[in-house]
Amino acid sequence: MPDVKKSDLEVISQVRVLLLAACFSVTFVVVVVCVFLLREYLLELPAKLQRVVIIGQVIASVTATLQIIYNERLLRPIVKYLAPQEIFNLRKGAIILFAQKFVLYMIIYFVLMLFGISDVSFISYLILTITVALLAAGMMILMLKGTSEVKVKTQPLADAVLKLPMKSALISLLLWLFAGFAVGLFFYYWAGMNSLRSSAFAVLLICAGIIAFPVQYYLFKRVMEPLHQRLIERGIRPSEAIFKVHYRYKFMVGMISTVFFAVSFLGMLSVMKAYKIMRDQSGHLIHIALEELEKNPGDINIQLNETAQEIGAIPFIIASGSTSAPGVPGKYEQLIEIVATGDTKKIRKAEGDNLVLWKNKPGDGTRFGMIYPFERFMPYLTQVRNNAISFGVLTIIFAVVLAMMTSRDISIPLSAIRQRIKEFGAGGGEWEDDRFLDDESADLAAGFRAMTKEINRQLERSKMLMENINLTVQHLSSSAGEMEAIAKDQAEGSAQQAAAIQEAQTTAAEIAASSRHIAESTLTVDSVASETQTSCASSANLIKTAVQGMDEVKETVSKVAHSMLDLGNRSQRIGSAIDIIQEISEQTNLLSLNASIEASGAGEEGRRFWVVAREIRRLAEVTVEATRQIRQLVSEIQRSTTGAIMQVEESTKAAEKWAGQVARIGEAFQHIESLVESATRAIREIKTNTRQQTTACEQMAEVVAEVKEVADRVVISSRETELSMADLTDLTRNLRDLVITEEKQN
Amino acid sequence: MNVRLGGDKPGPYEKVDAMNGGKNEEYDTRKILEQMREEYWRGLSEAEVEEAKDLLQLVTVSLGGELFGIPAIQAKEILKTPELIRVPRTPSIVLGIFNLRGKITSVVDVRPILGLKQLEMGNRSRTVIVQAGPLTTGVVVENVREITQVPRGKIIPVARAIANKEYLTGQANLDGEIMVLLEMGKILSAKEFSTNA
Repeated sequence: MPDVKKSDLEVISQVRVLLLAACFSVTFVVVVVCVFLLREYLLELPAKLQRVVIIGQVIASVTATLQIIYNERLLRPIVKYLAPQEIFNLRKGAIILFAQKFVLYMIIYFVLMLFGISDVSFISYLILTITVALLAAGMMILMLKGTSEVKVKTQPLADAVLKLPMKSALISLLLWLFAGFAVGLFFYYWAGMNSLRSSAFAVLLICAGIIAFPVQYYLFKRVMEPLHQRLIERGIRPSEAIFKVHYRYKFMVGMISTVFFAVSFLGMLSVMKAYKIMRDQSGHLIHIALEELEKNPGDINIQLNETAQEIGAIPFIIASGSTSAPGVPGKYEQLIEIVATGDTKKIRKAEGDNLVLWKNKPGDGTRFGMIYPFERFMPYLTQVRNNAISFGVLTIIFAVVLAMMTSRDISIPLSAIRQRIKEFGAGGGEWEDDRFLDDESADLAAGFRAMTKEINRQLERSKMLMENINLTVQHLSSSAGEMEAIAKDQAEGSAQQAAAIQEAQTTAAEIAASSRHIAESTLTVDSVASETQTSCASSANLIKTAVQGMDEVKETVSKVAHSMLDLGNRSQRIGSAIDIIQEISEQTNLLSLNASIEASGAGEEGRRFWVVAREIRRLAEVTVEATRQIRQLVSEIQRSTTGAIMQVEESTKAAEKWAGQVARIGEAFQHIESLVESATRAIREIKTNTRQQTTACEQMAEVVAEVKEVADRVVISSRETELSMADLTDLTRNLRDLVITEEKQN
Repeated sequence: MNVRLGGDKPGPYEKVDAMNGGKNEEYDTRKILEQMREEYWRGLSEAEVEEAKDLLQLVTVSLGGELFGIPAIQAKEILKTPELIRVPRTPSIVLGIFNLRGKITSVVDVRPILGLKQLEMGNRSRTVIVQAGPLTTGVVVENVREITQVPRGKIIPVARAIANKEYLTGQANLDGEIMVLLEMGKILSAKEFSTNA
């Protein structure tokens, strides 16, 4: 869809407004003119002429309405093409029209009031207004409904735009002509206006229409031309814009008009019938009255007069021998003369439209009777008859025209379609894009067009399909030969395959067995590892306690060392004490020795002294020995202490070393533990892997068995394939022949 | 945990056996002192019944690891080896001089004269003041055992070979050991002592 320029739509709405304003104003002008021209009449014969005025302006407004509606119909396709989203609100339009009419009529009423017409009751006027307005709205809806499914060809509507002014203006002219004609007729026949005035009115309206025609045309064209230019600029090529009116709407409009005319005709006929009945009725009454009088002649004069007055006839009494009756108007004198003759044929001839009934007075020879002056009704009757005739003629014309148009609308497209179908059936080919009036027939044509297109497409497809089949068949035949060879190879190969599969099967079984072994061994390893892990854990605990114990031992040992050191110190002090004792003992010994020596020098006397000295010496010796021993003991203690200290130190060191060792052992254990853990993990992995492997192997073994089966089957099937290949080759040959013959046929 | 302090050495309590004559008793000081007292009175009582015999009183010393005897007549005094002042230009066997109660006394080592091993002088070494003739000299010995009385009859001639037989006057068996008597006079006047040698 081309871009909608706001200005284009504005143009169209301008046009709409213009038209509306024009219709409005024209109607108003017409009404005012009518009132002005008929003001005398308004005063003279108010009731009748009010109606005249009203009906006159009704006609004018009806034509205006029709104009509006028709112009809208012209514009709608363009609008729809330019702005499909802009939906013409039919209801809204109808309401606007209704409102416009209503307002207009109200204004007119007040204008009439201005001129002093008060006869028409407001209520009846209101009813009339509403009726007319509703009619207008209804007509709009009816006429525009058909254009709601407007299909404008994608080929451009620039030309349509150009043609619109002409169309619109023509329609307006036609409507004005119609209005003038209708008004004239109406005024003359129904309002009883003299022919001059009514024709003056008609002429007035016709002139208005003739003037309006170019004005409207040029106005419209001026507005449409730029739009047309713009559309051409946009590259839209000229073509026709067709809008679609469904048959039913055409039909309905035609039907309604026909019915209207038919009803009017029938109305007229009934009026005529009414007159006739009236006449017959009066005749009958006269007849009865005369019979009465004949039976009871009394004062014939008076009675006759009375009855005649009642009935509305003209009484006459022809004395015998005279040829005139007194009291009868002049124009009937001739008739009386003929009645006097008594020649029924002549009377009948002479009575004309009047009804003459007489009776002979018995005995008198006087003729008495009544003339029913029916001829006074004749003008009316002739008028009615004329109307009836005209309405009848119009009805016939309308009906005929309608029928012709409808049948034409239907038959021409249908015959065209039939022709096209025939052509298509004969030799196919493209369906030309005919220009049908865009209604149901166009739909049908479109449908057929689509169908032909589809058929053509299908034909194309089938042609292509045939070609493809041909190619495929060729391929098939070549492939069939290849496949034969392949099948042969396959048969040979599958035997080898079977043997290979056998081997594979055994290998798979072996692998499965070995995997199972691995799995079992991993199980044991796994259990061992877990045991090791637990023992490591417990050892770690033990080591921890050991280390703790070591620490305790170290403490104890260091305490011991301390006490040892104390002991050593004390023993040293003992040693020093002992040194003193030893010193003393040694000195004592020396003294004793010296005493012995002195004693020996003393001779005999010194013997006791010598003994004493000897004892001293012995004592000293003992002391020495004792001190020696003590010293030995002490030194031993010291040694032991030192040794103990050293031992303690050594053992402390050892304990430390031990502790260190134990810690290291602990670490080692932890390390072992971690190693064991990783080993366990690895073992587990191995286990799972081997399990998987085992299952995989078993599966593989199964698969291999299956494959073997398949291989065996393949051997069989490949043999079968060989055979079927041969069949296939034959088949393809047949198919190719078929295709060739098919093509030849085509 | 059992840690043996002192290794495999016997405990201190076991050494008392030697003093108690083989009895494995605990170290009882009171008992030992009583024993000593008894021995003393025994000894005293023994001394009264003893007769004057022809006994030679000797100071038993050890020199060069061997047992020698110095007649008690000659031995005047025994004392610990004092601090000796070495006199220059004296033979090496003269160990030095010291002050013995105001008297300058020299101390010699006679072992080279006797041809004995010169064992180290321990803390048991003593100096025996020997008077042989006009000279009073101290003789350093490794150990002074005791002063014993040896009957003259027990002394037998020296069986050992030695350079100067005049130094040794005899030998005696002393509780299984051979003790050699020394002639201090001769020894002290050996030529080794002269300064001009």
